[in-house]
Amino acid sequence: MSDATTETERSIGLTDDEEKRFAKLLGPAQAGNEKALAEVRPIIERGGMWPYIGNLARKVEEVWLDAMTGRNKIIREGYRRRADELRGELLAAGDSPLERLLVDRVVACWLQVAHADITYASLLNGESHVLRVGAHFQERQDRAHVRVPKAMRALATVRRLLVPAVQINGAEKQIVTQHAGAARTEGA
Amino acid sequence: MAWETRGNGTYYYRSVRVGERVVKEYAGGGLMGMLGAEFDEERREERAARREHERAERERWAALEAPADELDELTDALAGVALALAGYRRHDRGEWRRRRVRRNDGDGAVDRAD
Repeated sequence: MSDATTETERSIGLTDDEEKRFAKLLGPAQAGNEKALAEVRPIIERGGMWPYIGNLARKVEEVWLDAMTGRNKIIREGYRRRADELRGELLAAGDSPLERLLVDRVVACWLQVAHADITYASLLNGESHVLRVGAHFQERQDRAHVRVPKAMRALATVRRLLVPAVQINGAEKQIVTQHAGAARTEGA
Repeated sequence: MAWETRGNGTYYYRSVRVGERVVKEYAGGGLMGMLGAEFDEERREERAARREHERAERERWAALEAPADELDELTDALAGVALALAGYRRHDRGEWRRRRVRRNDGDGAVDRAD
């Protein structure tokens, strides 16, 4: 990333002090601490932390793409396109920044799984290897495989509980609305 | 592993682990000793190179996983804060549930979930 981009994103993002304060407040706020929530709310509403986290998500994708494809630009482009397709399948119109971030996380986790699978398969197909090296790669593969369902679960939870959904059933003249986990059906 | 002088000759011994103990194993003197020492030296270098390769591999993985771990932590934290702000609570890392709120329905205050 260029210095100019960093500077621009900083100007709409958090100051260093705010970033530190925000990081410190996240734990208590998640636990429901009212004071921490009150302090975090304006930062969330202002969206100041999205540039930083968005950059982090892009960085994660880039480092895993580098690790998977090395200097081979064609294979890299293939994985890049597949990652973008997956992102497209997971994103929905009107997604919040949080949902977009959670989708980016799923994509990053998918890249990690692909990398771990390729690496371990190459090891198994190659010459004989020391047992502990095999165990190391298998452990990496297991860790990567755990990340995907965890990331999917976080996305599903946010969508189920935070995203309002409206379904109109024209034939039976029913409107089913669902908001923050509470469903309600209204007859016409 | 070492050369040892016994009487007028110099002989090469290597250390070998037998169960819990390390014992000295006679490799030979003269040309046999030199070949044994050279072989052991190559094995040592191979092991050191393998250890170095594994260490570098672990460091490479750590560097790859560090930003991914940070992203996981941050997104989990942000999702948690967003849910907490929307009135949800999670007990002991279980399911997120609506926070119980105190409501007054006219007959006195009662605790109930939204």
